[in-house]
Amino acid sequence: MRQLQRLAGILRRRAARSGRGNVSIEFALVSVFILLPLFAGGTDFVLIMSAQAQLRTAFQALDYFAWTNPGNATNLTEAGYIISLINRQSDYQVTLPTTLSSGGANGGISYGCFTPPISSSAAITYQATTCSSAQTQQTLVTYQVTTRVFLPIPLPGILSSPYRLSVSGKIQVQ
Amino acid sequence: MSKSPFRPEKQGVFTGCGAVLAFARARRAAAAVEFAICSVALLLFIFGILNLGLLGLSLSALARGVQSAARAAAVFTSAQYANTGAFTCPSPGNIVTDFNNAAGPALPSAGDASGSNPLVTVTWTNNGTNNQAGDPPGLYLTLTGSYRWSPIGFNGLFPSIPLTITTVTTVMGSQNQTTACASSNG
Repeated sequence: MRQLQRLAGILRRRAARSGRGNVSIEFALVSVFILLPLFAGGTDFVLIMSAQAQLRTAFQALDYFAWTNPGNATNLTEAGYIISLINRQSDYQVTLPTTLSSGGANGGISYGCFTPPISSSAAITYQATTCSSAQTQQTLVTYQVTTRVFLPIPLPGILSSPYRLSVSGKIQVQ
Repeated sequence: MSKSPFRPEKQGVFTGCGAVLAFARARRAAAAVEFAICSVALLLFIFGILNLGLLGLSLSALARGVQSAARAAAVFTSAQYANTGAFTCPSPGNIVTDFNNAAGPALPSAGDASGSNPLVTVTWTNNGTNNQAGDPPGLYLTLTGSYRWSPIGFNGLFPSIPLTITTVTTVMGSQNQTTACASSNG
């Protein structure tokens, strides 16, 4: 018993005056403030990346639908059918909102107008109304798809859960 | 000659608390011991972050494989339909081959049979000429790539993570046929 007390005393004195254990304390600090947040952020990042990959794939499916069915490209019910087929087997529920986040209707038409012959320096004017008869017209459909990701480790102020993602773009159908 | 920190109380023999006291006084290789303890945790973090990168690579390859294989199948079927007036769909095996070619070495070789990893699921939907309840007519291919990804360096410690990417492709000019293509069993 006396030897144990002596041992404890020695350890206390040694700990107080020596630098032993500094590495452990430093590592603990680095772990808590750097490595753990890095790992948590990495996990969230992979989930977001996964949802983003699915969202881009869904958008590509919509583009392909519009390209192969130009007459029905603006029909959101039919475009929504493509999304519903994807949602049956996807981990993330993709939605096709009726209005774009930037304003305007999802699946809305716009036009690209230019005066032939086209050249690399020719300007194409994009507008909501049809082109004049002297111009060549491109018909474009705009889509936006969105989804939500539930993050396992949300970072307040940086990555809130559910995290909302959206992809939008235009495709030329005619 | 300096005194050894491990010098026992009785020369040549480590006895009881004497040896523990001698060890407690010793400072030799203290940094090495601390590093050894910390390096275990550090290695776990390094492997964890390395695995996040590998997971991203697998996911990217999965998405690329699904998109490319679906597009190739739809284009093939459209071309066959244009030439012959009938659906000649690629077999699930051919779609899996396209998937493997597009995914490349980032993923193991895929299959379409249940239990394969990665698993490619091929589902053809033919709405024929009807347009019921807003369903557009024509033939649609739903292609799903599923991959149960396992982290390296943590064998048996963590369950595999399921990755899934699904796409739908429209077969061009397929509004007048009522026959469907064969889906996979996976």
